[in-house]
Order: sequence, then structure tokens, then C-alpha cells
Amino acid sequence: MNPIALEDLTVRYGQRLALDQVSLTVPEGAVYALLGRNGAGKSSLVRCLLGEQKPSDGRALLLGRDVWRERAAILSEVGVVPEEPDAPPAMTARQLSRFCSRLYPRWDAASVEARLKRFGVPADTPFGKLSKGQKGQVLMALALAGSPRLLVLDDPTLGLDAVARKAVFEELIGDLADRGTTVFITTHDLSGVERIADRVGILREGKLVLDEEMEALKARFRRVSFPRSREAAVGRLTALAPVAVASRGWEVDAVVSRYAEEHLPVEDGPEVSSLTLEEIFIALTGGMEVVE
Amino acid sequence: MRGFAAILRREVFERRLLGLLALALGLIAVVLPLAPGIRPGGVAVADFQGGLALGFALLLTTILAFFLGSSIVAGDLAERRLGFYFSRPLPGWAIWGGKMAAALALIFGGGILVLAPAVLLGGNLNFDGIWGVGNVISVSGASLIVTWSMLLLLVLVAAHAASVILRARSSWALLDLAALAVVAGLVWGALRRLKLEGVFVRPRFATGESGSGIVVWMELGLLAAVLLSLLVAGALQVIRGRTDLRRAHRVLSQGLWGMLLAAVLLFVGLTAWVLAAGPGDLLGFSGVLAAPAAARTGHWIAFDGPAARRPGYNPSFFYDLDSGRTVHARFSLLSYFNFVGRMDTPAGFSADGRRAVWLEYDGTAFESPVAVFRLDLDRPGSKPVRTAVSFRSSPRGFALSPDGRRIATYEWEGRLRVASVDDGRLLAAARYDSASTFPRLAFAGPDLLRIYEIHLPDLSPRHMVSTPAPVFELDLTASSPQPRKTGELPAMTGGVREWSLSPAGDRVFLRGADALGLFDARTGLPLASLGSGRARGTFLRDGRIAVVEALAGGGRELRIFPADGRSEPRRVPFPEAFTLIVADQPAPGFLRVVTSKRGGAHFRELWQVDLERGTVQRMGTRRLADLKLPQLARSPVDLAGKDGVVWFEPWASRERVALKGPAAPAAAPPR
Repeated sequence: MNPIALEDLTVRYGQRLALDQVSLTVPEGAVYALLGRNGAGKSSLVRCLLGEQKPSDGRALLLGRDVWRERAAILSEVGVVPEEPDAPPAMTARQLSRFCSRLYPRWDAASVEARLKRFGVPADTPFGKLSKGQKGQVLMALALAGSPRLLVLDDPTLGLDAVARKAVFEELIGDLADRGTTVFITTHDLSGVERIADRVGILREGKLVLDEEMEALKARFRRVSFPRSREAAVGRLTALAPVAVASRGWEVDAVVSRYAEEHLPVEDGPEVSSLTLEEIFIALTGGMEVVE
Repeated sequence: MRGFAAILRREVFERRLLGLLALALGLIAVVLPLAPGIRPGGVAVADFQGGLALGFALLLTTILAFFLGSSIVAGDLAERRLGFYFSRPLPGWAIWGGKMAAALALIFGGGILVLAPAVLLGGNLNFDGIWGVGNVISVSGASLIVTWSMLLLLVLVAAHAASVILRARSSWALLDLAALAVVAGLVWGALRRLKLEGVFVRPRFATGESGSGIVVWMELGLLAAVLLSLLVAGALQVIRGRTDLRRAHRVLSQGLWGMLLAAVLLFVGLTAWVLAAGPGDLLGFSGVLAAPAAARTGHWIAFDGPAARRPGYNPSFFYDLDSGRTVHARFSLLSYFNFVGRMDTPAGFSADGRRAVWLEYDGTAFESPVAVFRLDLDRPGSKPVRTAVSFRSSPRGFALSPDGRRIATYEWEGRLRVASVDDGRLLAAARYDSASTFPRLAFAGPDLLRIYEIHLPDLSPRHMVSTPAPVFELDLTASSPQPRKTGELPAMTGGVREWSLSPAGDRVFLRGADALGLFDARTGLPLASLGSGRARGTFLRDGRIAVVEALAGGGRELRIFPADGRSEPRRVPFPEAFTLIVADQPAPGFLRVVTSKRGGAHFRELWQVDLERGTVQRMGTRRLADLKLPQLARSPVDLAGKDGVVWFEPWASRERVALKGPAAPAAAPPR
């Protein structure tokens, strides 16, 4: 059973289509990174995934059950870190932990204390008075203390500085290694997530345009550059399925999505380099100009 | 339940300082009255402490209900903090229920903490006396607490709904406004119809009969529906709308207005059912008045009575005995308030039976102006016509001229007024200071209005003391008519129990505790003694007088006196009759009477008496209408269906009977 399965998930706001028949699955123990530009539909998808919003069509299954119908029962095995820190501002981290301990069957209060101590987050300061990074740490600690089978992280590094972002991902990697928890993460921190994600999905204008293993993705995407004097070779890129082609000075820069050495457009001296997740994302979501 | 309890505990804990505030207010209520110059003179310290504590408690609980209602869920929703709960294993009902329960705990806990110091330190918590609440809205003690608690709950959930609607700032708010206008309009319209028709909060307003009227139950039901709708809609909003404010608003609106509209439509339907009560729905009849003669359309009567299954509603009707046609009129409403000593029906028929005239409140009862209506009974299908005659408040006396064209009234301002029913013209007016609350007016001739200062004993025990009744006359032909005293009716032992003016206006019966006397209607001089205090007299059409007297050994005797009552009467005994009612005079020289036997309450026998020969002919037996409820056994009137109507007022002070239907075969007289 896949911990997450979205079946033709569709969300409409009046006439506007926010999610268009999105289907995806996340296997047990995987780290799934959902990427997308602002307004691509990530938040709607996460809300549906957590049972906070009823999809207009299709359904979201969490741990094999329809989350809209059985949200409360399912969430006892799910840890959630929201995009915006939403805990009651008057409650301290310790009070929050005590509150949550009454709701989860397996609650590890000691792990919350230990985590907060490790990151230097005061346990008795009201949540509203903590810094953004500290709030994120508190929510992460709460999300992990219930020993969840599934962790849903909605842009957990939003607004964090580079050090804090690194800490979140490293801590996450450490915890995940220990637990084998399935993780569903949306983030704009592509370099951070690149290190931990097993699988990547990219949303563009409500459609899931990519859903693939990270390694396979990185293996098939390449940047191919050749001199502009060989511009006629652009036509031969088709076999490599270019997603973006741009002219830069003396060079033509192409991002191809089905890289194969035998199909290179020029025989002498094309420069081929691998791409980071961020570069692939930019290429796929319209960051480069395509030259006809 | 774990989630519910966790949220309840959390919400209360977060606002625990409110407890200190409440306690501080409670202590202020105890300490403040001890300070010099604070306490009003004549108020005991304990009373002042209790009063202050109650005042603070009411104030604090109201403020808390409003602020918690508008923030405890809606605040989290608007500030996007409700997601914290929805990303935990918490069912929606537990989130809503836990927060609402916490709000209630804070409100009532706060109230109790305010009151606690006063209770513990000897303050006097007088729920009956607080600002006269007990006197004004008839709730006190435990019922005051229950009522207040319900109001607080209503404020709480209403504030929540309003807060969600306002915070969402969506165009759905316009639909909310439209729905609110529709719902409020429907309720207002239904309540106004109920008020206009005089559906009271008590089954019999004037008599102070205990129990609650149907309108009370309807209003309580509506209030409960509003409360339930707000509670359920709030729960739906949290359970279905979840974390999105606009979606939550939509769900709230759909739930709230859907349920409210259903409840209000039910209320409107119930109102229509209540007001659809016809003569057949009445449990009994009162204020019965018969037209002195048949109109072209039939024999008309006017009556009112309590409607079955509609306690508090006493509709009034004109009813045609021949056709069964009913015309609903609202004259009964006046008789439940301050009209004519609640003894006379504020309606009248012309002597020829062709016109009915009556008074109605022009608006909801009690303080509304009063308008005069007429119904021309000679025209088939005629409808009530509002005349141009109206009054600022209910008149204290009312009389219709024999021709049905003039109405005489005595108004609270101390003014006698005679106006034309046809065009509203003022025909005569005079200043008159009545010695009694409700002077009796009567037209003694076409241009002569007579005023009798008669007190009837059922108004007040003090009227059991007999007092003479002055008689005045107003000559309507005079250029500036003034009431002139023409005589005085003598005092009757035990007060006047019954009085009746002859159709010609020349004689009057007065019945006291021990005698039935005949008097000159103008001078009040005694003409004859006609019977004991148990006798009943009737002026016949030919001027003679029929008196029903109880026989010593049982049975009844009909005595026919000449017009002056001075000669020996013709006596017609009915030894087996338990009751004997003078009915009608179908032809000169003949009289119809109705008898009943002891235990035969459902059957009446009709007899025709030859007044010249003294013979009696049995006309047949009438079975009265089936009794719907035991109360009808005391009814003064029973409708027997299309073949005839028998009216029977054996227990009332006035007796009027009208009969119709084919004469039954003759039978042996009951001798």
C-alpha cells in the first residue's frame, strides 16, 4: 500500500482550475518532493492531501484511506509541518507538546525536548514570541514526536536563513534514516531537497508535468552547448527532446530531457553537462527562452 | 472525546486570566457597597452587594459571550491558525464542540466567580427583584437563569456566525443579507398577523387563565430553531468548511439559511393553520349576539370563542345560520381588553337584521386605534367594509342605532359621540363624565341616546355592593345636545347580575340576588316584580314579557306577563325540564322554547307555546353537535349543523337562543 495516492485530483475555484486531474503515488519510505512555482497548485494539493479541503473531483488517499472522509483517524499516523507556523501563539513549546500528547497514541515528549534543546529553542517561551526558524523547529519536533508513518512538510524552510534551512534538511535526513518514514515535501529550496528526495513531481498551472525518480530525472536531463556558428544543428536536437533552448552570445544552450550520446547534434566538441534539480525545474517551468 | 477534552482544556487554560477578572469584579461588588456615600438610601448592604454582583455577572457574561463567540473559532480561522487543529487527529466536531464548550465554561464560570464572593459573604442575590425584571418580563428565579443562559448561548453562536461572515469579506455576505431580510420579513409578517388577530401569550388573556398560549410555544420553537440552526451551521462550517475562511463562510451560510428558512416556513405554515380556525374549531362560544331579524341572506349571529388546539386564540365570526357562511371579523379582540366591561360584544346588528356593525383594533391590539366596520347582510357575498369612523383608543361604551346607520360611543376622554356609519360624519358630540368605568349606551329611539351607569358584579367584588344606577338621555335633535339625568335605577341586593333593555327602549329588567324586577327605562321607577333572583326574563316581540322561573319541587315554569308586568301571568309548567330557554317568536302569539332534562345534556327538546291558549306543542328533539372536548359541555352555544342551530347559555348571565329548521310533528305537551 502506498502511503500517498492521489487519483485524478481536481480542484476548481469557480471557473479557475487550480489542480487538473493530478495523479501520483508515493511509495513506502520514499521522500517525495513536489515542486512548482507560486500559484502552480501546491497549496491546494497539500490541503487536499491533509483533508483540509474537499477536492472538486478525484480523491486523495493517505495510508490507503480517503483523507477527506477519515482525516482525524488517519492523521494520528501523520506528522505535518505547515507552510505558515499556525500553533496558538500563547502556548509554549512544552504546552504544545503536552496538548499533542493527548491526541497521539505514541507520543515521544522526550524527543521534543531533546530536539528543542539541540537547536536551542526555549521550551517555555510562547510560540508567538519565537523566531521564524525556532517556530519551524518546534513544529518539526511536534511533527516527528508522534512517530508518524508519513510526514507532510509544506515548504518547511520558507523564510529560514541558509543555516537554518541546512539544519532542517540535515536533521530530517538523520531522522528519516532512523525511522524510514515516508516524506512528502513541497519546497522552493531545491538544492536542499535535491539531497534527500527520492522522487520529484513538478506542478505547472495545476498539471503534474513531471513525476519521476530523482536519479532517473537527473540522468536524462543534460545541458548541451555548442557554438552558434553551428546553429543549424538546433534542428537535430529533437531526438534529445529539448525542453529549453537559448542563444547566449556565441553559444546555443539547450536543456534536453532525453539525453543520449549517440544523438548529439554535433560530432565535434559539444559541451555536455549535468543539471541540478533547480536547473531542471527552471527549464521545465519556463525559465529559459525556447528558440524556434 | 479525547480531542474534545483536550481542546476544551486548552482554550480554558489559555484564557485563565478571565477567572481572575471575574473574581475581582465579584470582590468589588462586595466591597464597594461598604464605602461611604456609594449606597443609595434605603437599600440594605446585602441587597446592594447582591444587586451589584448580579449586574456585574450579567454584564461580564454578555461581554464574554459576544467576544468569545466572535473570536474563539472565527479568530483562529481568519488568522489561519485553525490548520493547527486540522493537521492533528482531531475530528471537526471535537474542534467546534471543544471550543464552544470552553466558551460556555468561561462565560458561566466567569458569572459564577463574580457571584461567589457575594454569596459567600452574605450578599442577597434576589433574582426576583433585580431592576424589576421579575415584574416586567414575568421571569424570575430559576426561569430567569434558564432564560439568561439561553440568551447567552444565542449571543455566543450568533456572534460566531456574524464574525465568520464579516471576516470572510466575500460576496456571499450579500446573499446572507438577502437571506436575513427574507427570514426576518417572513417572521415579522407571521408575528404581525398573529398579533393583529390577537393570539395571546395566555389561553385567555382577560381571565388570566394559567398556561401558555400557542404563540408562546411557536415563538419558543422558533427561538430554539434559530439557536439550533446557528449551532449546527457553526458545526457544519468547522466540519465541512475546515480551514478556508471563505469556504467556511459558504458552508455556514448554506447550513444556517437552509435550516432557518425551513424553520421559518414551518412557523409561517403554523401561523396560517392557527389563523385558519373556523367556527367548527371553537371549543366554546361567548359574546353571542343574534340579529334581531332575518336578513335577505339568512339568520346571522356573531360570536367568538377559544379555538381548539390553539390556546390563546379566540377568533370571532359572523355566521349565517341558513347558508353556513362565515365572515371572520376581529371584534373579539376588543372584548379581551378594555371594552365595555368585557360584558358586551363590540358588535351589533340593526333591528331589521340587514346590517352588522362592529369595532376592531386598527393594528395590533391594546394601544392601537379602533376602527368601525360594517357588513351589509342583505347583499349576498358582501364583505366587511371599513367605515370612516375611528377612535384613538378603544371606546368605553358602544351602541348601534336600530337602523344600523349610527354608532354611539363613549370615549376615554369623557366624550359621547354619535357618528354616521355610512359616511363617518359626526352627528352629535357631548361632554360626559361617567361615574362608572363602562357606562352602558342604548338607543331608546331614533334620536335618543340613553346612558345607564350600571355596574355589573363580575368586574370587581366591590360592585357586589349595590348602588343606584343613574339614567341620562342625550337628545340628538338638539343643536348642542347635553346629557340630562332622567332618573335612577334602584340598587339591587347583591348588585345588578343582569340587565336587559326592551327593544322599544321603554322598559328594563334588572336582576339582583333575590329578585327580577321590571323598571321604567327612562325614569328607573319600578313597574313590577317578575320573579326571584333565579328567574330569567325576555322581552317578546309583541311587547309581552316571558319569565322562566324555577319551581320549588323541580322543573321550570314559563310565565307570560303583559307589557307592564302588573297582571297575573299565564303559567306554562315544564315539570321535567332541567333547563328552559326562551328561544324565538316565529309568529305573533307563538313562542318557542327549548328544554333539557337532567343528564340529557346532548339533547334539547323544542316546544311551541300558544300564548293565547296556553297550549304546548312538541316540535322535536335536537341532538347537539358532537362534543369535541369536555370544555364544550360548558359552551353557551352549540352548532348542530345545517338543519338548525341551537344556542344554549344555561350558565351565562344572558340567555339568547335562536332556532331554525322545519317544525317537527306535534307531540303531547309535557304534562
